[in-house]
Amino acid sequence: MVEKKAQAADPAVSVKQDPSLALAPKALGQASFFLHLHPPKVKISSLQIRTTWGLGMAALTLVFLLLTTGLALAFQYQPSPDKAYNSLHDFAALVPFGVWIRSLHRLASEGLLVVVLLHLGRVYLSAAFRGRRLLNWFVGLGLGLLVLALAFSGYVLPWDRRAYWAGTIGAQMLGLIPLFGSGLRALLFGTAEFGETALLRMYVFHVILLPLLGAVLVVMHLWRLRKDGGLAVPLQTASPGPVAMISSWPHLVLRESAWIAAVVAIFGWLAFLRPAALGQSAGAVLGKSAAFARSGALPELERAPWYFSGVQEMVSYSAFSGVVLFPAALFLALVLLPVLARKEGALSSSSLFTRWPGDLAALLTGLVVGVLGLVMWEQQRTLGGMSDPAALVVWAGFIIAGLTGLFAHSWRLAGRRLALHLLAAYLLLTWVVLYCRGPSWTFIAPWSTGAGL
Amino acid sequence: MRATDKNAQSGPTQRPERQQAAQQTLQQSSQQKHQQGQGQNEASPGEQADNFAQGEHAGQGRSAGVFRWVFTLSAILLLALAVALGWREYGKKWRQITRQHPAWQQSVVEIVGQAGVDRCATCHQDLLDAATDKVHAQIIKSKHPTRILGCVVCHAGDGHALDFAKAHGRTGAQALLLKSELNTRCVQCHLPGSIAQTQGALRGLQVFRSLGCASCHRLGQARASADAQAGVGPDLDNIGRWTRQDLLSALREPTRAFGKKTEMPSFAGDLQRDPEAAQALLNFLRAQRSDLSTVRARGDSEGPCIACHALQPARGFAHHRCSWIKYQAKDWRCSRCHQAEFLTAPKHGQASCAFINAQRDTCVYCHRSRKNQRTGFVHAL
Repeated sequence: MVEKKAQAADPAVSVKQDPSLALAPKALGQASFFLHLHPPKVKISSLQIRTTWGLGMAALTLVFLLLTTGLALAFQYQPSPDKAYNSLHDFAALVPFGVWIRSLHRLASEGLLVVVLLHLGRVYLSAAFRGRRLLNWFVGLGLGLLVLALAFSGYVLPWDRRAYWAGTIGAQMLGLIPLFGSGLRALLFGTAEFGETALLRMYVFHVILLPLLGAVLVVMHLWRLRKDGGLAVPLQTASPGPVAMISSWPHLVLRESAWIAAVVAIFGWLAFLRPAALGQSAGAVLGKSAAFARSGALPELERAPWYFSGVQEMVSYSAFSGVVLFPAALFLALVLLPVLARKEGALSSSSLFTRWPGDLAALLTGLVVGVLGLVMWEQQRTLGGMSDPAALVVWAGFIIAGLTGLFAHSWRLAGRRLALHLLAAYLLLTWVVLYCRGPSWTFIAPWSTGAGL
Repeated sequence: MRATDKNAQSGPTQRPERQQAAQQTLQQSSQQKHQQGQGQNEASPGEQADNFAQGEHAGQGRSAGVFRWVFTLSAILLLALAVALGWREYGKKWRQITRQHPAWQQSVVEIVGQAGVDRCATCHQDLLDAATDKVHAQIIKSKHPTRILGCVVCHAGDGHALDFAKAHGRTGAQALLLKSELNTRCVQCHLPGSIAQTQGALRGLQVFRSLGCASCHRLGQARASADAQAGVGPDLDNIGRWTRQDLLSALREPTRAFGKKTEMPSFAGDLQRDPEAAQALLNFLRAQRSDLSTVRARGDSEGPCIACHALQPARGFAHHRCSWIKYQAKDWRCSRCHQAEFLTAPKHGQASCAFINAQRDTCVYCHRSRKNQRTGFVHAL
């Protein structure tokens, strides 16, 4: 709709007279399905790389990579505890390019998590969720949760030891949610012990349910994008008045093609150079799971997948902090405050990073409070109940958000500061789990070299 | 598309002319568009593509050029990737070998249940046959047929893998056992002392106990009862996945391996005092691989009976192989019928049926399943 109005206002660049349209080769005319996925014209300022960083397109490309490699894996994979590991092992050993395909699937999934987080960060920090785009922001948040769920359900499918422990810990963390946690766990994992039923259900989620849901949400996300005025523009050009438009072919399509090719090339080479390892089989020892739990728990450390290890660290302080308090703070920053701020106009600044002194301060408070909390926790000198590192970070975040809201009179700015504060703390806790936690969850400083645990 | 449909209706002979005509009109219309564009922008068609790049929006123009480069570079990288992938796949050693032989080989490991298959014989083809096997002594080979047991049960490594480095465990914990370590693996199936080859393991177990390891660590189901105090430290059933180097440094400096709060004392002095004992201990620990000893797991916690008896049916196991008996059942265990003393005795070669509990339900346990279906009788031994 918006595009048409703009064309009427500016006849010099209307569709029929645009010379670049005639340049579409005939072969592309046959493939016009792909061209019709695009709007005929886009705003020129949307094409600047610094407007979107092409993150949405990168995410879509990774989804495409995941679908194709996942299809190849699905031809071989068998979702039962005694066959799952060996089926993937055989996939790597016998199928031509098997290692590469599996590595690509794994790397693309982790890359998708990172890209989606960056995409979310870009949209959030440039306040692109304001006005009528708020609905699409929520769709995007749903997609983000879906990516997390897909990553987790995929992580447990190889049924190696890491998968087994990740699943067990995930199920335990889910059970800690008050009121409906145990019911949810029963629904998602079946039995209390992470076993045969859980594997089958994770498989169904990973292969059928979540991808279907994801397809629906992706379509909705893109459709809303068109309905809400197309690709994002930098803030200074969002002012009313004539908008400079340009035809999608070839300008947008060229950029997209280059971007897609680059993402595929980068991840293809990464998968070639860093093949994903298949851990030790859990099934071989899982015959008697009690004996396995006793002998298998140590000396190897049980960790959640890296994107959940921050939550695992928080749960190690207190279940309430990890599964209630911190998610509640995130909910406040990502959902409630944008809703509260929907009446606010555009920010006066034009760039993602113009408010960097305040943003840097928010990041620093997250780190500092996190480190202080950790030191106090490890020295066992906490300030009583609800003062573990995670809780301290959340309380500090609330204070920061409250002060910002009070003095800057902007809920959006309050949310921005809170989100950055939480992000810094979460990254810190993730780093602690990955590099400083030893057996029995003892703190081992990374500069003291261990025995290659 | 519509034009060709009409052609099909009116007959094949007229098709070429009509198609040409349609193409001409298409070309004309596109040329007209070109000319319109020229008229307005006063530029030749070739330059029009770069209008955007060079013209009014100089900032975007530069990035468009960058994107052309990105696209070209990515395409080159992808081509290179295809070549690299093909090269790596083609250059695999096992593929080279199977190019000379008709197909890859695998020994299907029956007893070892979940291990499934060993593919070592794909490359080590001479080992599959006892006659051509020059490496293993005849006595070992005859009693441990590769086609049944595979290689991994004794040697470790990765039986499923075909890549050289992976199969031989060069990449980590799956490393093949050294020859000295290999001698201590016999106890995974054979009771300590029952055969001469378990001497190395016995020595290792002796050191393990004399250093006091057993007072904190449990090691293996069968020996758990003797070390009743164990449980302070983790079970060491699968400690063989640690490399020799990791084991040694953990024994010498536990605080570096496990953190300052660990309760494990340092054994640096003991290990230095008696190097032979240190080697025996390391050999012994390296051979502790509960994930490989599935032979034992099938025999359940009662003892490693199946290790010998299933392989050598003639030696006292024949009547259990009766087709009426589903001795593969999960809850099958020797102690159902055989007395406990019989199972733990190191030597029971002269055993007779006197060791079987003379109770009627011991027979019914195995033979009940078909009781009413065919004869109505319990099948006689």
